Amino acid sequence: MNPFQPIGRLAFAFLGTLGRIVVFTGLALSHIIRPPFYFRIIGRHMLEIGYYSLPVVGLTAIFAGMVIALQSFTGFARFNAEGAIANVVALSITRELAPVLTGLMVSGRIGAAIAAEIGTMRVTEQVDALTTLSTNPFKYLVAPRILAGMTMLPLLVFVADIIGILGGYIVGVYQLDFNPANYLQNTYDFISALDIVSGLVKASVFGFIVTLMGCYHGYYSKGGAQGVGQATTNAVVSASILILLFNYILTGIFFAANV
Amino acid sequence: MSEPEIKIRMRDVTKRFGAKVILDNFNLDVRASESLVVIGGSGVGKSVMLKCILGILTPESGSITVDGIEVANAGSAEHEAVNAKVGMLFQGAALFDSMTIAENVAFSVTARKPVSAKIAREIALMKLSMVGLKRSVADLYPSELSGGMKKRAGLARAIAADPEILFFDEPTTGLDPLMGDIINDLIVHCVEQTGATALTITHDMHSARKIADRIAMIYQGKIVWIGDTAEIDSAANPLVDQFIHGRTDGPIQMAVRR
Ligand SMILES: Nc1ncnc2c1ncn2[C@@H]1O[C@H](COP(=O)(O)OP(=O)(O)OP(=O)(O)O)[C@@H](O)[C@H]1O
Ligand SMILES: [Mg+2]
Repeated sequence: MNPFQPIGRLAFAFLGTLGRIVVFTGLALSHIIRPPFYFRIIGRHMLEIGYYSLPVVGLTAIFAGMVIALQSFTGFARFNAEGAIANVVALSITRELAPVLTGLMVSGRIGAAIAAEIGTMRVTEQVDALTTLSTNPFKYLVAPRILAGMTMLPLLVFVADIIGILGGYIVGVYQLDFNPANYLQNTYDFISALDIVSGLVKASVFGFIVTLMGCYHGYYSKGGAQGVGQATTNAVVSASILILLFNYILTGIFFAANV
Repeated sequence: MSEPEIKIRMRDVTKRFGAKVILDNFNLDVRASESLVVIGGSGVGKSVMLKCILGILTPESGSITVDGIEVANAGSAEHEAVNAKVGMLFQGAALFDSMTIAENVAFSVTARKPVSAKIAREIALMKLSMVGLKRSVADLYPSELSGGMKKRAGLARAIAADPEILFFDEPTTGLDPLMGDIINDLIVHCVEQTGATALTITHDMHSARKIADRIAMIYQGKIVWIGDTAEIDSAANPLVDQFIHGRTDGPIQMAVRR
């Protein structure tokens, strides 16, 4: 047997998948911008993604903020630079932790649910039934979810920013005995609009990735319950990896010039 | 007599899954306003045939026209134009399980006609009563229904928008004989009263005789016999003869080992 054969086959499979994702994304985007719009359905998904994810995202953010404050204290105390803690918490939460952790949590919560729901609809012929009822599945199933993801993730991340900084404040003031007013002043002085905006832009991209991967894997799932399970796993794994990849790329774009 | 108008024309349609050929240079004409029933053994490709017409599956070769519009290998615009005329009952009903039964049926109305939600619901309730589903069922979800009830709800959804073409994939399977006959009457009614063209798949010969103007039989990827319903008993075709009498010995090879 030719030893390059499996490698070639893998490469072809990869390119095939990549092509399908590109086509799927193009179709999804074209349906997002063209009417008719299903406003009620968009609203329902916004509620599901935005509102019902708040507890999970809030808990994640508060612990992230707390642990950053603790960790940077142990580090900075060696250089007598404890004053920089508020700064470090604010920067790392708004630029990195809030968007990435929110993206990952939402991919587990929403990406998986989307893949399971559309996947079940696919294997029980409900997606086919939609087309026969003169309703485009991209318009009805995919576009509203992606729109809701792209708009709701920034909102969630904004909330996570506030709660994360609050977590740092709690540890800083009640455990490390900082002066509350000084801590807040430090946070306020150091944080810039770019820190927050870059985090929100990342969030929107992550919302796109999570919902797109959920829809894509659900849409192409096949083979009954097992296939749906596989689609769910693939949706979460691929979304998580893409989030980390795009986080790196976007950080590069935003902060390459002014570190 | 003039040539009857052809609503759906399938010519040399070939559909395979991998190496397995399901439809093999398949030809079929469905005349306008007729009720054609397709019979054939389990797994011969009856559902695949319907899905090819609807554009859910794409045949490898051949031509399928609906009202003169080519749909095999066509773009989404052609499929949308054809789907707008078609009401389809899926073999597994394929009800949307995030919606109630009434919403399912009303969806079919609002997707095609500019009517208010209230009127769509009224139409839905009327269609549900036509398939023998009580009002109390209307606000249940599909998971709360029995198999036969789902089938009837699917039927109500298929006929809700009064489409000119009706596809029924095994409409009476899973129903008791009395309910089966109500559904048979309903299909006859749809064809006779509204002038719709109906293409029905069934294994149920009683139902086939009752609703069909013509009957066609599929075997090994082709139509092996087609003729008026009255002629089926005198059909000099051993395949048809074996099928309608349900004999295990004959030219149809059953893939079972004894
Ligand atoms: N999506 C698919 N992928 C692969 N094979 C398929 C697919 N759909 C159908 N088949 C195969 O095509 C053949 C015909 O299937 P089809 O569903 O049309 O049968 P049928 O005539 O409707 O049978 P039944 O009366 O049992 O419903 C079967 O052998 C099935 O295995
Ligand atoms: Mg079938």
